[in-house]
Amino acid sequence: MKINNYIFVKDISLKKNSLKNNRNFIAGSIIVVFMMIFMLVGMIASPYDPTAIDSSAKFQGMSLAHWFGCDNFGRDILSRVMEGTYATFKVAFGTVIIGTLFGIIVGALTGYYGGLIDEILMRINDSIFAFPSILLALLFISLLGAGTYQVTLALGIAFIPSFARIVRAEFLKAKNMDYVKVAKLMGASDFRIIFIHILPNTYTVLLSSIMIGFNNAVLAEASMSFLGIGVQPPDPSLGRMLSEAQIYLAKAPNYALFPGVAIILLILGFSLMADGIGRD
Amino acid sequence: MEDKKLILKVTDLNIEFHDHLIPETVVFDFDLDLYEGEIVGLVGESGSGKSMSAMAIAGLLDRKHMNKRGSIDYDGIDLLNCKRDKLRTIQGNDIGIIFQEPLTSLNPVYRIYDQVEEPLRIHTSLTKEERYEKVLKALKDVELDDPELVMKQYPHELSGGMRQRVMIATAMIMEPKILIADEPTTALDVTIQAQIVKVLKKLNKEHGTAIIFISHDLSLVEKLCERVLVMKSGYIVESGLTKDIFNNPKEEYTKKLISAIPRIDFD
Amino acid sequence: MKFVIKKFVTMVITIIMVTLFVFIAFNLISGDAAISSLGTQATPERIESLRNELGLNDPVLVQYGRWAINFLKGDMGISYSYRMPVSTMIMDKVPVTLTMALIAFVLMLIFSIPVGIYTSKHEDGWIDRSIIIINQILMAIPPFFSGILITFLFGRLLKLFTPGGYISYDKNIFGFIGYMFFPALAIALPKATMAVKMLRSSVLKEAKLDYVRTAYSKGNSTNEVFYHHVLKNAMLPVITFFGMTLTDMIAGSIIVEQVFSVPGLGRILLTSISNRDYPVVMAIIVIISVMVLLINMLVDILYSVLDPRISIEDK
Repeated sequence: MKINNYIFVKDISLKKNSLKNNRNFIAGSIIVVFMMIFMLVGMIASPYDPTAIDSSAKFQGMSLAHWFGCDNFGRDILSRVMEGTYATFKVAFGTVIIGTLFGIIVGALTGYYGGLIDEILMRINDSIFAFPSILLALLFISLLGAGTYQVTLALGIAFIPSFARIVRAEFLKAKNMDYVKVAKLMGASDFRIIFIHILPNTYTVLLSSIMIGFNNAVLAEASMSFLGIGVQPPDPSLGRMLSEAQIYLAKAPNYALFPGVAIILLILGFSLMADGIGRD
Repeated sequence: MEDKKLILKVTDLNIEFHDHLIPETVVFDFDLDLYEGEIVGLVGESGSGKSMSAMAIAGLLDRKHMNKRGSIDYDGIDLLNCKRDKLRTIQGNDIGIIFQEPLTSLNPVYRIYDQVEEPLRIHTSLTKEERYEKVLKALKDVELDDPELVMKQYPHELSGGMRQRVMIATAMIMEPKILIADEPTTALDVTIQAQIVKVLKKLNKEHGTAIIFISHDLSLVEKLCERVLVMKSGYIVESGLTKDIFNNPKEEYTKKLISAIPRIDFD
Repeated sequence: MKFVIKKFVTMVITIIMVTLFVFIAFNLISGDAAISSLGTQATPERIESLRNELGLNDPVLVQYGRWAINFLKGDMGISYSYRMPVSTMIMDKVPVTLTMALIAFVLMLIFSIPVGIYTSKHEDGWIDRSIIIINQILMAIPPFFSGILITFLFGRLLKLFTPGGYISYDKNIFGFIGYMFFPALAIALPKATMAVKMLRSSVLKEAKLDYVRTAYSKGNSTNEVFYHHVLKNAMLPVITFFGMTLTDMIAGSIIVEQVFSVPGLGRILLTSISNRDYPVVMAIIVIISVMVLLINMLVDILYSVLDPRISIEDK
């Protein structure tokens, strides 16, 4: 314990913080796991066919038969929210995979080798980074066209710079660490140093940015679907359900409520997890 | 020494931490009589409680997570137990303090002038021009080469030694009765250390400010201090005149500390 | 000053790079303008002569230069779907989107700074804790959903505004601002909550630094230490964040415009994307990009003014 120094540095703060962060992480994991189970139940045993139209059930309120009620076509909202969660998660997953994979490659190479390529790539990266990701995604969508895969690709590309930035910073730090110098002296190849030595050491930072990535991807996917350029009908998606529900807000507030809550829970879960892992 | 006035009397100071599961006492029964204009050394290894005791005198102990007993009597006021408002009239005014890390101890976003001037704004009602004169004099007193330039600079633009001089100027601007120097030279080069010690000695002579000099570097303490208190694990294990202790240490611990001084003959 | 010039030059280069990319990309997907205007039946000679006339045989950079100069003059091309100049279609929409973003920005400042200061000053009190929890939940509400909630609450239940009853700014400026308050609120909410969180953690981090102890040692009161020393340092990262949110808000208004039926840039952008009306899409993306880059530059400059350490490092 350091007692002779800095009274304002409470030694306790470290302990307390990690406890608090764990609490965040646990709460976030519980929410995410809950949503996963919710999604899986929808995949295995969806109460109704999410696209089945039943004109007799139009705008039915919440009941034992339809827990969340029915929409303007008499489709079961619960089934659609389950299916929509799956669609959102699918896009988010694809987005994060593209973003992380290329982000790690770009960040690792530029951070480790430096030099002119680093300079050029990072300049490009920085100018892309300065753009709101929604705008980037819209630009790519207008080039690629609307649809699930296009949105995944567009968001994935839009997410690369932020990952690359984080990974690069970690590699810049690691490059001058003793363990890397030792590995070099022992004749390890660059490939080995990058992937076996440095990368595993960046995992906390990486993990927390992946969680933030999920958080942003869910938000972005929901926004895209809300605008009608993500998942295409009749497939359900949370964002699209919200934009349809908006018209019937006075008549059937439950139609908007449940997809909205599902989006909030997903975002809240991932952001709490990110909070728990990260924190300098 | 007997004819000098007693300005600070610390009696039975105990400091206990409560921020861990088990309360931990870091200072036991600390006593100190400080006389006007003297320089007292407080030595010991890190964790011995010397800085904690000094922080208590400067009124800088965190109020939470901590249990304090005893009294620190300055001019009839108990610094340990008095109200914060009362304490503030003494902090920076009658008691100044400088720290180990001059860079982080200075606020990065303010110019040097503002930081040196701050105690004047808090404790006096001098005009702008009078304050400027005082700041200039204080910066000259710590032997900064170009005080007019330094005033306009930011902490990150100065060298370590210059920063520590700025800290001293700030602490001395109200001409306090007591200056607490908490390891002021530890973060500096050896040549700069000697200069800082020289400045402290000079200020002590010119202003009659008593100095509590905290260090683990006994060679500096030997040069600067008339009296020494040796601390170990929260206790004062030995105290007395510097020359007595250095020539004839009684405690085994003190002997060890003294034998650890690298002896280099410069002459 | 050197720093400002450097930032300005970087911004101009970035604008050129971005617009060049957008130009090339849209030229690739929009196909041959000569064929599309003459039809596929036209003779190769006629197509060739029209290509020459339109300058489509010139090198890409020359075409880009021509386009850029026209754009600056206000000639942004002709919309495919509406057969009217793009500039007349979008120019009166720019103030709508900008107003919404600006109101949202002001709302964010008004909300986040006091709340952030309160929670960080009363760290770990029960009010602080409840604010933090509510804050965390509010942060997770996407703007389009909070837009729906606001419509439901303020529009349908409290009848403070008519949902869908947009009032144009050239008809009634106060009615316009009154209506725009609600979409702006939806945009501001998540950003404000993030700012509260950032400000709080920034203050708590700064409060542990050595200069705070020095400030106490000079005889400052807790409030003086907080407002004169800690807050000034703690605001620096938050200000960068504020700058970034302004650009996000401009982009975010595209979505929220849909919720509140506001005919701004977002509305045309989306219709044009689904109609493949490329001149319009391109013009809007270029306009928003330039606004974003301009704001980023201003934030960088502002930051260097506030933080004395920045300009030195860049010299």
